[in-house]
Amino acid sequence: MSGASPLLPLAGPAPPPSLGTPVDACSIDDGCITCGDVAVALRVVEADAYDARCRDETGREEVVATDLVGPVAAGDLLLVHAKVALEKLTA
Amino acid sequence: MRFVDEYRDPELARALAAQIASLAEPGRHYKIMEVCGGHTHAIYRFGVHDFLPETIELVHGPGCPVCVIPMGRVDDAVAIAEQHDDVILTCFGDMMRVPGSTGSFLDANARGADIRMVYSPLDALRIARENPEKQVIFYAIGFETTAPSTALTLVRAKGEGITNFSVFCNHVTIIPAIKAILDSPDLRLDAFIGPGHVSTVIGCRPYEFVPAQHGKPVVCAGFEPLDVLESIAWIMRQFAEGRTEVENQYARIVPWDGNPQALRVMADVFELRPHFEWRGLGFISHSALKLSSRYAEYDTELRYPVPGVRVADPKSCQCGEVLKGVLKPWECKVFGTACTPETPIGTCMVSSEGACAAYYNYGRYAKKRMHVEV
Repeated sequence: MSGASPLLPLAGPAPPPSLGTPVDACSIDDGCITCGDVAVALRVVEADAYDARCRDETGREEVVATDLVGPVAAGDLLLVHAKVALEKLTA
Repeated sequence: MRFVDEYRDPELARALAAQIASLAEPGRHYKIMEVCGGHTHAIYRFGVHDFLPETIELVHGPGCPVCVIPMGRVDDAVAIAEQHDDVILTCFGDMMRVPGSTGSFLDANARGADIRMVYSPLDALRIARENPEKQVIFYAIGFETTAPSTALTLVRAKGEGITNFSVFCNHVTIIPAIKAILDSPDLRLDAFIGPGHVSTVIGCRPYEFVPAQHGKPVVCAGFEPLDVLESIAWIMRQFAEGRTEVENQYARIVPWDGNPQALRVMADVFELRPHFEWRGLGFISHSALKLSSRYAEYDTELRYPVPGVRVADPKSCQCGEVLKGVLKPWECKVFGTACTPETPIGTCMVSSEGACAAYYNYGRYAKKRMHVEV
């Protein structure tokens, strides 16, 4: 691949609302979702070839890379770790 | 919440606990290691061990990626960040407080080094785009759950021609660690609860040597309390039926063969180091990753001189024994006194997935189990 995704203006202005900051990502109750063996399930809202804007059940959104799971579409459920989708879930 | 509520049902937990108790052979003691720090966290957070008979002992394994980083690797990164004014060092949140011999990343930050927390290596790459006059280093840690995100980030960096970005690679792999534990003379284990999300990437096949060569069951498990209890029930059923094999309790997430695309990207970006030091386990052959020759230009260790000094843990710290499951967290001399999550001496107290931090936060008032009637 070459060039940044059009969906995710990585070099542009402020990123979209985040699922969490590094501080709350390491909360005691939820464990460390960045560096541990922990991932979260997120629903795809919209997607392009490389990235997808996803939402969790509380409405928080994050843009995640989808290169490792192949094409995704709105409604797909993804297992996400460190803003990278690791698996497409069937439910 | 989907994928959560149905795995926290107290009635189902009691039913599973009764099943586990009925499968336990009278007079036999079982030692089951949960390899993954995520499981350790779940076990303490939800009191899973309180549902088990006294004869089933859960042993906490080395699967917390922060906990196994030796102090020398922290010192190496601090030295690079402090000696180069144009460096921005980035890392995950937990890593910020891991003590090195000259302090943690947070301490180095306070002394003036530019060290920033990120949520993803892709965020580190974004910082590199936004700061072309700076050299941005991502301090990569983690097992096979996290390594694909680093690999993907490097693929994107190379694809975009970004040259002011590099990776200080500390990724480790789980199978050599399990082999080292199985070869450890001071630990007798009966079975393993296999890591959940690592297995999403590598699949279940790599664990087949455990039953085949060591005669011990492995059940790859999810992270909710019922997942862990059900996995223990499956292990106990294997014992009761005289079987030893790899089973996948987390099949709703984990494909038996893993994620081939993630494995392909990792194979392109990384290669095995001949050996790597693990805190508590010492040097383990072929147990960690470095950047492959195809990505050598992004290897921080080739861009900067790295001190590479081996630093011994503080004498009072017994993280090594805790990581091998030889000691329980509260049996460490400084647990809960000199070493707390606010002022950690050892890595196991830093990460919320570390056995000591998990025990400190959820179980320090009850060293003996609170047995749940089933």
